[in-house]
Amino acid sequence: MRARAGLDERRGLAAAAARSGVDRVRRRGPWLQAAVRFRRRPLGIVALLVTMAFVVIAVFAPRLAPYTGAQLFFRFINDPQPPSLHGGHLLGTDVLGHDMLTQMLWAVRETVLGALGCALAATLIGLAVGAVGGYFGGALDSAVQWLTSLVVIIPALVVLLMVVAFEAPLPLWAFPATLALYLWIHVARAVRGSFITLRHREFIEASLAAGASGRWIVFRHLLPNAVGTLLVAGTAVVGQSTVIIATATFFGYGNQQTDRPTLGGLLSNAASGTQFAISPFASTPWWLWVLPAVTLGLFIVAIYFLADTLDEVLQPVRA
Amino acid sequence: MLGYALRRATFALSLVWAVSFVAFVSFGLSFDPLYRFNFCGEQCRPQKEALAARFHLDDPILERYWLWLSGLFHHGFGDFVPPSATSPSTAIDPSLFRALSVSAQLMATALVLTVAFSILIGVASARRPGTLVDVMLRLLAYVTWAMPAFLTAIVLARLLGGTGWFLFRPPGGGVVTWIRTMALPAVALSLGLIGVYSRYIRTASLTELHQPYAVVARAKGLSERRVAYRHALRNALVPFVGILSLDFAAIVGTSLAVDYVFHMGGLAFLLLGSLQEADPFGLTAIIVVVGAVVAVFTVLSDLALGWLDPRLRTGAST
Repeated sequence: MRARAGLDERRGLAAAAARSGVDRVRRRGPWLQAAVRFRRRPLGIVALLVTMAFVVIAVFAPRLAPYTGAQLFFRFINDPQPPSLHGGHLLGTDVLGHDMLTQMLWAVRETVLGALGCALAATLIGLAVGAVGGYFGGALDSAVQWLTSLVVIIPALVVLLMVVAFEAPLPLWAFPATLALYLWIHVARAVRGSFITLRHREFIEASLAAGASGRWIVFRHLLPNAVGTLLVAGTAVVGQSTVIIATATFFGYGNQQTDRPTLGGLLSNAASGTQFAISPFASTPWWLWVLPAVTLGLFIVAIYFLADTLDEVLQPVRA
Repeated sequence: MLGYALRRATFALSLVWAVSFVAFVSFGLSFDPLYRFNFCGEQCRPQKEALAARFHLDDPILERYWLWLSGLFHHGFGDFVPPSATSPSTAIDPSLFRALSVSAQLMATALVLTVAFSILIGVASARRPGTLVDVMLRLLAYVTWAMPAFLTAIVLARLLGGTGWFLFRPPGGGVVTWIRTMALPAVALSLGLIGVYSRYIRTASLTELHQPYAVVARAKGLSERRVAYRHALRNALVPFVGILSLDFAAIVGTSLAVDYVFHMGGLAFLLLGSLQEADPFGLTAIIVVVGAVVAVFTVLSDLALGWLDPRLRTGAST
């Protein structure tokens, strides 16, 4: 990806130069250049639009939902209705008599907001730790390295299951918060690597020689240059936390209120009503598992495509 | 090389020790395996006290850790906390290692599939960048990558479980039976990984195929296949092995989900069982073993990296 991005970059810049004159290209700031590169990636744009649509749905889910989360339709209990344009249940109903559209909207809200919150927290922690390790080096860096290695050898899923198991009724933010205490290592590694590479560049040495303070170097030179790395790593964390939270809720742990469903929880419900050992979903109505599965898959694909495109766009040439 | 190996092994050992300490202390403080007795009042008090005394549950936590750690060298991980003082105790070790062997078989099979197919697909698309083959493989990679493994697992189980050929139980028996139990889980676990790693291999191979040494190899008249697989691949594997070792813990986590869906009786079941019982000893044992497995894998991949790129052994600047 990177090598191709480098080639594209040169080709793209040459083409842009031919169109608009070399001077204009030179005057463009790095962000504008990145935006221009982004515009040339249709898959990236689609991914961005899909992600934004998910965020909008997540934020406005309570208003979009046709019913309240807790509302039951008693005549449809044990008689789930398939999706249809008539009858007021666009995506059908589930075995317990919930409106499926309402369930899906709340599940998307839970998943997307949880993942974004987790990514935000993980990015902040990772930035702080990675910056300290990368900037100061030495014993402090060794300590940070040891700590990240320690966190990295235990699967996040296992920790999540354990934390959730010992205090059963946890508040909604407990999953993402726990996970953030875990996934920051990926951000920290990226930031540390980027700081270490940058620290030995000529412009930093020049700045030091000119008498710049440590704070100036960090906030004026290192951080702005690491923003791309940070953004890419943060976006990747959104995808990772989505997968892990969905898996944990699929195990049947975590938030189990039926008026506050999650995508993993919907899948778990769909799978557990049947002869699971022989073949999951064998007799489950298709819409009960296809809808959450496709929605989950779509969100993760969009996030990964977005992260990948950001990676190509923000860091076209690597040292 | 030996000094390097020793340094890495010591580092890994320190990590496993730290994991055991953190796990034992936090589980010991937060999980109460005798929670059942809280509901039955005075008549259960003797039982509760007998069990608490037997497992030293009321001692200071550091003392308990010391007992546990010294016990580890004499009689392994000890016993699960039994449901009542009179019921026979079960040793942790046999069930732990049975579950571990199932999980290890699953992960090893999936890793072999992952490495083989990632290299094949990655190098194949690097040799034809931008062609239809490359684009199709890329799309496929993204789709498999984005499917959480538990989802891949249930889709596979749903699609192929009905044929009756695949078995949803712990692996064992002859070769054919083993394949019937292992094929779907291993594929479910490795599909997503192949999606990610074939991309890494492709990127790295593409960079390496344009390096001067590759050009020289071509100029010597070597075939493109030989340049790609003999010359470029070794260098392209360096980032791959590094990332694989970083991701290994996540792969173990994913294998739990697959294990759970296919009812393989691996670590997932032991973990969920111990969680149900709130057994701190069982949970600590699982965490320590998982940590140790990941640490061993990390050391092995460090050694592999040192072999692939000797500069890494000495810490020389790259």
